[in-house]
Amino acid sequence: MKRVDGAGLIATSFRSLPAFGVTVARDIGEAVRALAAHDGAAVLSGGADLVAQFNEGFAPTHLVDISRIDAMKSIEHRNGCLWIGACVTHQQGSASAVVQSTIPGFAEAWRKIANVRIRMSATIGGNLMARRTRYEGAILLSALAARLQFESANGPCDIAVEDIWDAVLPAGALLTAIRIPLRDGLRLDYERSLRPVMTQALAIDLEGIGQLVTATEFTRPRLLDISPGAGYQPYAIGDPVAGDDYLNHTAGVFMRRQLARLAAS
Amino acid sequence: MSPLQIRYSLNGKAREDHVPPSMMLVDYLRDRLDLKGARIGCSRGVCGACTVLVDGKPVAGCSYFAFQIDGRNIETVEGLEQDGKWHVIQQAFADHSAFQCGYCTSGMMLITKAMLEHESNPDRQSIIDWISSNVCRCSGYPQIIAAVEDAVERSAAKAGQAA
Repeated sequence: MKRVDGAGLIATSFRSLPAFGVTVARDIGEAVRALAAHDGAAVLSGGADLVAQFNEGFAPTHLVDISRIDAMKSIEHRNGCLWIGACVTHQQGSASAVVQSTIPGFAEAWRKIANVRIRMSATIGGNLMARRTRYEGAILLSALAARLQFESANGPCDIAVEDIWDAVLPAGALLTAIRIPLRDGLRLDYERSLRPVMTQALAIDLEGIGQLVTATEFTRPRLLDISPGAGYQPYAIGDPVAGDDYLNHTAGVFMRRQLARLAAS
Repeated sequence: MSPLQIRYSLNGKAREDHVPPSMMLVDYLRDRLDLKGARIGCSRGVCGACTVLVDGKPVAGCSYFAFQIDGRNIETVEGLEQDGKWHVIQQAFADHSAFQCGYCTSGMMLITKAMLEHESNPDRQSIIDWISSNVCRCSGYPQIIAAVEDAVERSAAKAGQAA
């Protein structure tokens, strides 16, 4: 739906897309140059969300197709971190032996996103950059304290996943990779049984240092430091569907389940 | 905006064309090539009625630009039949009456083909996971799952004969 002056809310479809130019980028440099040359250009990777954005009224004049950049499809260990290319699909990432062996529980959680067809096209980068509260990439990666690596005409920059909602990025910034700092025994548990009312990711390492991320369909993920000595930091997690009391109680129930599963794993 | 040149393979045959940047694959197939097998349903990539295979991967034709098929191998439901003989998936769907209105059938058969190319011996849960990618508004899932299970058996038998 989009609002049109004089007509109110109207349903749109792919039949009424605005005209736009296209750059099919072969490497990151070409993509960054194209984004710098075309103010407000959109980025096409898996395309799972972009067309929905078009249908909601998004009208860029240029599209930069990054789906053929192989350098953004790799998953590797480097400098004590797990690097995941922004164009890695949910299918590729969740089936990756590197992901499965590096952070127990992460691949299993990742595999729960969407359905098989969408997982084979949709990318982790698109999931994050869509900035939709119902998408789950930010929930899992926030719990893992991941950071996002961008390239732009003005050089690289790096932000925490949880800052994706409000960060003012350099013009034409391209998300190229997700970097997860590795710690001894880092593992993840994702409780999704009440989705979309509430989901919760819990990541913890051998020293008990970890983060709890509580999310609902309608609100941004909430982070809670659960490391020893962090203390309890109460926060409001209520949304239009469920109130604070219910969600706080549920978060506690989920956390007990999750800690038990992690202890047994 | 200038049309974009595309070179691709459609159901095994090399083709070349020019398409507007904003043209969707499902429109290209239906309106330009007169291949009506891919249906338009939700127009948001959710229902899967417009499913086609791109390099063996199922994609929603309503959410995939036509220019993206450049250099790719495209398979539509029209390519399942070979030399006048139905594909084992088509035969299984027919034998199990795995359609009511038939609107989802093209997409369901192509999802099944993609599944068979990724998993030669899927169990029932795996079949359900794959089929859940698409929507049957008539809710004929029991027949569809039975047809897919049958297609898996027929495909395995055919592969055994060929070996």
